[in-house]
Amino acid sequence: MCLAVPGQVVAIDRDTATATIALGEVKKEVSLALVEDVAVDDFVLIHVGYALNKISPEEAERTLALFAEAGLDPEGQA
Amino acid sequence: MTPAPLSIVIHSARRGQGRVSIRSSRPVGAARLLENRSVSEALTLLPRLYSVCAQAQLRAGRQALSAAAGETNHEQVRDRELVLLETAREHLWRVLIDWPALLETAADPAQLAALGSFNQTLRSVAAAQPSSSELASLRTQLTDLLRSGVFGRPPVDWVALDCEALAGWSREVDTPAARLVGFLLAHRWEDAGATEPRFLPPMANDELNQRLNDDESDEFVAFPEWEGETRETTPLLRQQHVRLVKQALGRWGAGALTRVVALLAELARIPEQLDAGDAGASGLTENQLPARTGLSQIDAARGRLVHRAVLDGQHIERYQVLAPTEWNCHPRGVLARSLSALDSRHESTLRRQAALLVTAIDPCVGYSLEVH
Repeated sequence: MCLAVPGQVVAIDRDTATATIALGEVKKEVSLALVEDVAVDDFVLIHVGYALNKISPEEAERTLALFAEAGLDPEGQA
Repeated sequence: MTPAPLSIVIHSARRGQGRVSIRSSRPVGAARLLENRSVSEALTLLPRLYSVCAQAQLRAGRQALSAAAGETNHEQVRDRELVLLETAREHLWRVLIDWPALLETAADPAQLAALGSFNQTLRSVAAAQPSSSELASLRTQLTDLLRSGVFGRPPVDWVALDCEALAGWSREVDTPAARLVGFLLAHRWEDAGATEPRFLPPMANDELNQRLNDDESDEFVAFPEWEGETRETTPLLRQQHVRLVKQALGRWGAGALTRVVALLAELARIPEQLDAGDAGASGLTENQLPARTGLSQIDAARGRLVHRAVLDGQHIERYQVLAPTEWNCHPRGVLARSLSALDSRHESTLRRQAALLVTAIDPCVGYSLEVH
């Protein structure tokens, strides 16, 4: 199933174009190669190790609520 | 560490069915979330839930829900075009990101940036009602990317190659696609993982509806089989009649190289389909299902996507999604059979060929691979 998970950017390494993303309690390294203008505190949708696009905090909240309602673990889908 | 949604284990000392084990923790029942909601709510939630292939999910959802409501779905050409553009983006991801990784080389930052820009434009255009000029601009962006980052020539010229010319192309052009084809030829891995294809045939809506409505429907959605067999629904199924793919299938069988060629052929033909206004069959069929029930079948990037909806008044009583990954990554499906056919005695070779086949069959979720 083609699920992408919202996470919040907590750190960025510009040299390697990667970011540390907070997914609930878990932190994950993802590539920023496919997105532009990402800053710390932004929300992004992530899929198999890549940030796909920026989303608003409201959209992130709505999507996480949807995952919770479906009983999906966002960490397991990222 | 959270386990990957797809766990693949190859037992190299074993032969036959026990050689490969595939376990999945993918949430196949997530669509139930749409139950007890209104149709408009469901159409808002579908692309949010399945955001990677959002356009395909939205198109399938619109068709199934319209059919269930007994309405004619006046599908717009642009809906079909968006699914094709989404398919191109997913295939470009494999070619520009996964294939360099398989070759143990770095992805080209300029091509990644071009793919990122295409992805951003597609998402923002799809979020509103796209105008013809926006779609035309996306088509141009795609054609440029295919020419510079994949084929090194107009895509339509690449599709016209034969197997002999393919080898020449792999030497002349410096892109990840050409390098992967050259690598497979140089290592004589053309037929790695080749098995007899068991393609998914056209499924009649009434029969499919029956399978999705009987006591074993949850099992069918998680581990689908058709006419008593596991089935494959991949770009190879869709492109098997293209001359180059047909030739590759005859020469190397349904192995690594033929699968790579089929994906490239599908990618190369997308601009032509878009230019011709031929974005694929509408997928709409006469609804001969019970009242309040709607079913749709469309081609998404990874294969056939099925949605089924049953309405109760204005609300959804039941909603099911049968995704292509469930066919292709079935524990005895095409991925398992292809991996079982790998016979190298060297663990590093086995591991590399396995990664190649997983990427070629493209499960759409993260995976872990162990070789014992």
